[in-house]
Amino acid sequence: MLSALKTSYDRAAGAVAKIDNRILWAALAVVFLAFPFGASNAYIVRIGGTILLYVVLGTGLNFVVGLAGVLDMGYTAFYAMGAYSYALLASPLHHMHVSFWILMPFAMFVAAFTGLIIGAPSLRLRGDYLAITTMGFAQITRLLLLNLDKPVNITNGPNGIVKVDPAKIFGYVFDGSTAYYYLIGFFAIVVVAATYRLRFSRIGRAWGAIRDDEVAATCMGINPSLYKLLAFAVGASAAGIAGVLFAAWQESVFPEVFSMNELINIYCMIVLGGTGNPLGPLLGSLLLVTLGEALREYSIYRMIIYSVILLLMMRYRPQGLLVSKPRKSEVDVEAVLAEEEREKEKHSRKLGPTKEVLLTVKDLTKAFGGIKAVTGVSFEVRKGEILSIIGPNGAGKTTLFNLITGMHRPDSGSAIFDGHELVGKKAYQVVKFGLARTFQNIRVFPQMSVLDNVMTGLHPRLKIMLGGAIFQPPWVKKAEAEGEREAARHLAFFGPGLLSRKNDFVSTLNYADRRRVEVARALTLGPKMLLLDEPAAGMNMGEIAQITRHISELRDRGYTIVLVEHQMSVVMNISDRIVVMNKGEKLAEGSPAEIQGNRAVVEAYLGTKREVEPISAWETIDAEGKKPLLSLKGVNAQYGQIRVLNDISLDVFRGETVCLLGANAAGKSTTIKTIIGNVKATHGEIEFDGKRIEGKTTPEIINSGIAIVPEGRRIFSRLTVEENLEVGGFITPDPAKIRRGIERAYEQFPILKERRQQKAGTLSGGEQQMLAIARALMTEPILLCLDEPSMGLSPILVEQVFAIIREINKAGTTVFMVEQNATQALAIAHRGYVIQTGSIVMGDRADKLLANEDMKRAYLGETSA
Amino acid sequence: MDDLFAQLQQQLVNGLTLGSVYALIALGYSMVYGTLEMLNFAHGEVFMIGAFMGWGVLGLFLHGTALLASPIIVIPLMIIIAMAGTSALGVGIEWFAYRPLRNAPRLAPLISALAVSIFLQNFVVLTMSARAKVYATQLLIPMTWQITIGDATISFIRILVVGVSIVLMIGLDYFIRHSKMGRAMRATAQDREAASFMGISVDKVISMTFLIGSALAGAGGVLVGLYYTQIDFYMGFAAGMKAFTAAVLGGIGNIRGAMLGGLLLGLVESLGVAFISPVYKDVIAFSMLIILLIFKPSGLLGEQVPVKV
Amino acid sequence: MRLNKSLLVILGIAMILSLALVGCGAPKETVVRIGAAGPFTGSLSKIGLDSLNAIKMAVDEFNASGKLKGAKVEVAVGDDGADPAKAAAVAEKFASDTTLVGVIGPMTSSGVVAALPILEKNSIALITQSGTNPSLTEQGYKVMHRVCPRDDDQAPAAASFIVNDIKAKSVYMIDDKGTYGQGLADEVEKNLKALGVTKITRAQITSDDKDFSAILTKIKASKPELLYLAIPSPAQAATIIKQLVGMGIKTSIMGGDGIREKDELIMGAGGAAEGVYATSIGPIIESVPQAKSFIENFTKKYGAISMYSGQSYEAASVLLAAIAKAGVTNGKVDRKAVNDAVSATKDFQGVLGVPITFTPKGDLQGSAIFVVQVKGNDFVQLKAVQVVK
Repeated sequence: MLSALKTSYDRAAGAVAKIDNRILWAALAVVFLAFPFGASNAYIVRIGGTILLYVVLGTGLNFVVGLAGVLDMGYTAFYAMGAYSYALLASPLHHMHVSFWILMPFAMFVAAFTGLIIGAPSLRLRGDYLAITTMGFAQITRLLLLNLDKPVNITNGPNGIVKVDPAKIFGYVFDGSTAYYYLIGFFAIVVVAATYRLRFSRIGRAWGAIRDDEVAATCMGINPSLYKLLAFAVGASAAGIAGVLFAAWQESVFPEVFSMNELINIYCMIVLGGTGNPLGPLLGSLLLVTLGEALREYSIYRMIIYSVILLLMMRYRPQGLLVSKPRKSEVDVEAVLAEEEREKEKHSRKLGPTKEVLLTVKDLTKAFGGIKAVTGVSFEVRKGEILSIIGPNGAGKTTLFNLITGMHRPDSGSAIFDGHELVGKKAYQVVKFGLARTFQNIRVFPQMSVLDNVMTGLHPRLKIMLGGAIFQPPWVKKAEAEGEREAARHLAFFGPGLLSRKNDFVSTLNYADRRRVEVARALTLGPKMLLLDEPAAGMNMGEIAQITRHISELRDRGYTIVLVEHQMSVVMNISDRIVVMNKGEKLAEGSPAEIQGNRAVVEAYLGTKREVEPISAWETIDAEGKKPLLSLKGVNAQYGQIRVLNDISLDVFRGETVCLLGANAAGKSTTIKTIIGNVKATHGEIEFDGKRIEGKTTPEIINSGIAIVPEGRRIFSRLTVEENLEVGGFITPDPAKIRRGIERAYEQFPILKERRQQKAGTLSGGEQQMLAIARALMTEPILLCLDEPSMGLSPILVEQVFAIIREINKAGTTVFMVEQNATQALAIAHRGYVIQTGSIVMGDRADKLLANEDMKRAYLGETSA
Repeated sequence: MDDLFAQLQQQLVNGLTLGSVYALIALGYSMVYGTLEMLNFAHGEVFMIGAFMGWGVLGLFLHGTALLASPIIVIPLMIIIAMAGTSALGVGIEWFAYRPLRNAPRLAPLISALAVSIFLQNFVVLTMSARAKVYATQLLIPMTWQITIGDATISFIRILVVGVSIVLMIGLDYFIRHSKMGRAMRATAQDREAASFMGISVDKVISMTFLIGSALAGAGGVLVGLYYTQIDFYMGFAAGMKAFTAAVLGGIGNIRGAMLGGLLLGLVESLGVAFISPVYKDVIAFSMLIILLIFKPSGLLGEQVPVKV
Repeated sequence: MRLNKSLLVILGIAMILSLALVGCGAPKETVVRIGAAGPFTGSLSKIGLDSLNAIKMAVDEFNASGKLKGAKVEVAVGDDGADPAKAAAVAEKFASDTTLVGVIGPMTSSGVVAALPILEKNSIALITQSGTNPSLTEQGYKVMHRVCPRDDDQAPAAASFIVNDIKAKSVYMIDDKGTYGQGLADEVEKNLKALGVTKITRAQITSDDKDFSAILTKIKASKPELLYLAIPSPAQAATIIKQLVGMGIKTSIMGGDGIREKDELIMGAGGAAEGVYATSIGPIIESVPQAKSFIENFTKKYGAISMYSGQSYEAASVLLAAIAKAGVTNGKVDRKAVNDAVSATKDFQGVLGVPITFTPKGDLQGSAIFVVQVKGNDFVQLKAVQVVK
């Protein structure tokens, strides 16, 4: 039945898709205009009018919820303000009869103004707090309308305002549902058209950016509070329009109309129709109003049916009936590519480093709750150079970026860029000085097209405001078109392939392409300086080579670039100078060659070249002919559409320490997660201790004897140290055994005993790592999986942690470890594998792997110089 | 002046009673939000169903106007059966209406919750009629049983309401803090994935969260029934909204915050009614919430979550 | 602008479905309909459903009686959820049904306000069973009728009883900030003042309040001789009374017709309501001989009877009698003839125990207000006060 329905639906949709757009719009217009004549009676026309009124209301709410992503629960207050503005000034209550056409803009203004009053204090709150605050405001508004009849009668209280004047135009008095059907229809068309215009304008892009990723939006020069307020005000004015129409049509208003139920109703309409789609409110109100009317006779069953339909709808189509689609840009791809080619030609004479200082960072210091992230860091960036900042994870590199770009405010110090002091400026202000950044974890706007993502970078330069976006005068069209071409050109910088995907949702791109979109977006800001935070992270060798070339090409075009990067192949090849950070402090500064020769740097970051202590135990593990403890055979895994593991096969034998090496996002963590069932293997076999485990749930797998020390430790920071250990022993039913486990952990890590009543969040990085290991050992696992145990730790601690792992292994636990710190990891491992973009590319005995030049080149990225 | 002081005492007692009920319901909102970051708008209706279940149990022990068993047996039985029933209901709601939507757009579970709420309300109307039901509280506890402290009169029913609420809250607090499941719940609330790494079944913990929250709401329903003596299908809406406010006030997601928020809201409301005007009590309650959130954006005991870049 | 094409498909399907659904119920020659408008869902559905059941019963009995030759009467249900905007939509829906000749309801005054202009245009008689706001009949609508008293009818009766019989000198009044409650309280206050009572305190609650301890604490402090309850909910009144007794406050209590309901008030208060006074349109329904079979049948079918069931049954009976009087001509009943017949209703003896005659404005003429008191498990009639028009 369902499938038959679906086929017929698909067939109908296919047929409709073949018809020209203009014909469809014309048909829709004819249906709209002819509806009152076709309707058999006034009641049907009234239903039509009600639907249109809800279109106005729903569209207004859609601005706020769908386009700007703000959960506004105070929307009915604006509706009420509109209705009461009209009713108070055009009724016998106060003997005032102001014209409908004067009151309409007035009511819009009042509603928008209320929106600002409600929005201003609420908008700095996070999502659900904002919802409750706005809901509170709406209740307050309704109660005031209800109660402001005493001591002075303003609103006439519960009796409402009756005999409200009908709308008039040139002496014609609107009377009856047909007249109002057309009047409301007119305004419905206006607001829906405004959505169409606004959605893909500068304003709409700003809203979308805030909705999708507020942090990234801020770095595009968008002031989130301002744009959220604007959304509130725009939505509120639509509600104001609806209020006036309602009051004039009903010729009366009562406080109870603007209840919570009405709000729920409007929400249901836009969610059902599909938030973010301009026609969603139309479809939603059409369905729900009609449904409500059709069921009206069934009184109590009506609500039951209604609720069941809503439930099923959400269950089977939670995104709403209409999905929002990316914008189809019609920018001339050939012209853009040609232009980019000319640009390339123009810069064939390479620009490069100068002596002129562009950015001076002085004594920047920042602590987070007692932990010093950055301490007294000073350096200069010269115009036209590539300056790389390197250092171990947790050295404070990203924090440094955040301090410079206004994401965090430093505790002390200064950063002067091109004559402007950056400290104290907000992120969206810093952008305007000519500073653009990318993020360590890619931050693109997933619900926007590739080109629109890049076009958000136009925000600070385009000066199109609300009026311009709605009315689109020629200069706006021209500016938008020019901006679009420019944005497309920045995409074209990465070749025609990326440009050809300009109209796809950015979320459908692969990892490397999303990185490139992020860079193109930063370029569109027209910056003098680019701050790139690990641009090569998670890319494969080819892609790394490409991005390296691209970065140096950007320098050739005159951009100044500050780069945070782990990939030494990138850093050593293209940097003019390098700043090395460690534990929040600047450790060294100099040319690539100087840095590579700096002992301190090698020790802190590049890794101590210690003598590898031979693993005597490894001789005793005779893998030949034995069944492995853990074996993966041809395992695939994917996140959504993106495949992250590709035909992974590896073995871990009982008693071994095996490490899996690879770059960021190469699939290391995913391998561990797939083993423990956190990510489902889409293909392949995983066998552990003689049993197939690939279909099992995580608790079952943990129960069978695997434990994990997750990446980034993931300790429960709000639980005490002891509670963390107790949670670690969750699967152990025997409390005495848990107790023993805790005692054992305290013996092994005396520091944890000292801090056992402390909240785990107050521990230092190294202590947290020990806690994470101790927590994992609580189950007395056969196999211990560690995900980057050395991440973010100082060299000394790294050594300690590896020593601990070694001891654990010696004591009989098999260890499977994922690491970036290849040298040290291999030093304590029996065998190792190298993973690259989801595939195992190498696997060998640890000592052989360590000596393998190919491995060094592939993974460690030795300089070609 | 004496009058005013006398009133103040009585209003504090009133506020405490009201507040403890708000707190009981608020706990359910807070716990669910803590683990799922979702507003369970159907929670008020669970409370309402609890009240109806208590009424049903009481009905079994009634023969005309005679009570067939001792109140000492009947009252606990009402509370326990209602708690059992609502916890099953809560788990069922989560399983049917929320679990399939765990990865859906954030508005979807909200609408789903509203739909559940509409359904439950109308289901009760359909099966029990829309008329208010009466708790024959006077048969259980004579209305004249009361004590006077200073100028405040405290009826025994109030003591029962506050007492049971406090016992339940202390029990919950102890459970959350010291039991294995409680620790697992806190761990899951903090980091769902890491909790699953410890072998904790996240689905089970979420079910448990709904189970406990709904059980408390069920107990709240019976207490409200005993105290106000009349219940109807619509009682969950207003109570739910207040409890939600209380949860946010205390810092949503925080167990002790919900208790504190509930008590505070009850007190403010009672004092507002007494010294300003009953019709403006919601205005007072919401104004307090808004002002508090402006100065402390994550509620009284809520933790500030820094934006991670 | 690009059009989402899948939208059009869904739109088309929805349109066809909606027209099919809304358009159904094509007129049959032999059917005459009366509309029942009221809150059949939502927070007020209790009074709505009580009313709807009574209307249906009246129609069933009428059809069985064969008073209308050649046609059958049906009830068209129009749920307005107590929302005036929906009440207007319901009125329009009724007006569009050519077989529909009269409407019982809407039940809220704001609903009546919204429905009146539409029904007036279509000459459809409106009889509300509970729209008590005085202004409703003051606007010159020909189709407006009510079988309930106006708020300003019971107020003089209540005030005179308070002053002359209870002899209370200080009165504390609670209303629910609704059209009914506030309107009634305003009128009672006015009349009390006219009779020389100066110590009047007003307080307002909201319809969803359940905890009155805060307000009762104030009452306890001010020690009034009488507490007057102007609220439309007997259940809420019972809660107030119970909590009042629980707090040890001793005062006389009186209420409007809104609290006069045996089941919810007397049973609901569980003994605490003993001695409570109430004004009422018409005598206690149980004491009306004509109401006997109605009470029996209704309680058998739907359980307890409420004030709204009696008044709705009466309204329906008046309308049905008018339809019978207008008669079927050419397989149709004329709306205007029905409205004229309703307006011309004279001394109709129904279940309320007062002869129904409408004034030209549509109010009840010369209706009597009765004062009743709770004694044991029932109301006892104390006295009747004739309303002077």
